[in-house]
Formats: sequence, structure tokens, C-alpha cells
Amino acid sequence: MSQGYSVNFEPIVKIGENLELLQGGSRKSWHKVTYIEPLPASSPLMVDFGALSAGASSSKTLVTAIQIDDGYFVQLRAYCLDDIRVQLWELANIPRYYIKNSQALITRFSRLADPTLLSTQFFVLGNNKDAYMTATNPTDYDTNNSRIVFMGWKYLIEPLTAEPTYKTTVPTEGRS
Amino acid sequence: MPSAIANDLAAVGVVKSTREPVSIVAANTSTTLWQLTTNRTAHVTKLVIANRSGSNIQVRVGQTISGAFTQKLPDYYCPNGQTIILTEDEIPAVDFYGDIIVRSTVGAAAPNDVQVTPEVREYGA
Repeated sequence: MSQGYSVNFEPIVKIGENLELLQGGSRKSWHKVTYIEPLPASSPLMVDFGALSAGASSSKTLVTAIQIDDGYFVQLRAYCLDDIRVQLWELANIPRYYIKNSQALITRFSRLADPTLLSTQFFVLGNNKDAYMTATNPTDYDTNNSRIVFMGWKYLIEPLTAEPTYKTTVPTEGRS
Repeated sequence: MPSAIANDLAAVGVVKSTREPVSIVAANTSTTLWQLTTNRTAHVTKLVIANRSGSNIQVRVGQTISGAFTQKLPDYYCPNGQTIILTEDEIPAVDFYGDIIVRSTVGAAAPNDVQVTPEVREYGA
């Protein structure tokens, strides 16, 4: 069994291989990957939370740019184009990058500390299991833009009824 | 990427910003040149000083520490009627931990007779 994290930003599995997706609580599901497609970092995958005053935060926003339909699964990494800090939730109420007292953020500095952006990696599984984000302007100056860009891989997956012997395990939701 | 290189990149800083000109009118009076983001450190990487005050001036850049202006960069002289541009090679890489303050030794008769524009690199997370 392998884990879905690699320094290189490549698909976590090959076509024909299996995934074990960890969801909320102890739920798991198993899937076979039948198709993979890259999602290059580009303007359609850029989300602008809009103008933010100094110190202000946007509302928690559904990230429609990375929504997908049932039967699909996306692996994403992200970086900030503007000097903002971004919080991630999945299912709107489950924080990601979260430990007991802190929620880590994606910032302009993330790419320097982690050039591959592996630490930002997250997964979105199917319809209505969406990602939500809040952007904060940490500076003392207003900003006209508060942008984050995503890039990743899209997988077409078919459900399996039994746990396969060989699989890659991937967390698709946070655990608080 | 080897961690040593990543650490060097982090040390370089990533956020480099320039703000609109700051006008200094009163002599030897602190004016905020740059409001530093909380939990970050900054270096001044460029200064542009324009002077039409009628007198030669000295510009001092520093921080407010314990309520008092503390100069952190050397005096920069700007003759009347001139603009001086100081680049990163000419400005010491002094760490600023709070808002960057600027003063002029000579007052200006009108707003914008003495203007200072900074370029700042912030370090943080």
C-alpha cells in the first residue's frame, strides 16, 4: 500500500490502479482509476476573493473553480499570487491543515518554504464535497486583489465493492 | 529541492512592495514610510527621495522604539531641486521589526515638496 504524497507533483496512481479514499469519521471507499488528466495552473483555476481592506478577511467562500461531479476526484496544490493568507475547509465545516490549536494557512511564503507545495496538497471528491476558503489580508494596506491559483490532476474513478489488495490511501476530508 | 537551497530562498523573502510617495512637511517629525505586516521583518530595498523644499535636506529612516525615533539607516543627503535614487546595493540590509519611519531635517513649505517612496522586502510566513 502506498500513500498519496510525493515531493514531485505527479499523479498519485496510474490508470488501472486502485484508490482507498478516507472520508469523515471512519468511512472509506475504494475505487479504480480509469482516466487521469492534468490541470495546469492557469487563470480558470485562479480564484480572486476580491478587494480586501487592511487586516480584513473575506467570507467563507465555496471554491467553484475546483468543483467536480460525482465519479471524479481531484488532487490539488495551491499558491497565493497576492500577499494573502488562505484557510481551507472541506464540507464547509471541517478545517484542513488543522491541529489542536492552530489551522495552518496557504500564504505567499508557502512556495519558498516548500517549493513543491506538497504541504498544500488536498483532495476533492465528487459532487457536494466541496472546498471552501477564506482569504485574509494580513498587511496594513488595502489590496485590490486577493488571488490564489490551483493546479493538479483529475481522476475518473469507478467504485469497487470490496477492498483491493493493492491500493493508494488518500485522505479526502479533514479530521478535527 | 535540497533543503539548503529552500532555506536560502526563504531567507531572500518573497513579498516586495512599493507604496505611493510619502510627503514630509514638518522638520524632524516622524512620518510613517511603511506599515510593516505583523510578525514579519523588512528590509528597505530602494528609496527615492525628491526635494523641492528650497533647502538641502537630510533624510533619516528608522523605527519607533519605546516611543522614541531610532535611526536605523545612515543620513541620506538630497540637494534642493534634485531626486536621489538609492538601490539595494547602497542601502544596508538592516532589519526592521516595526513600522518604518522617515524624517527630514528641514521642513517643507507645502505638501509634496519633499517626497519619499520606499521599496520594501518583507520576510515571514
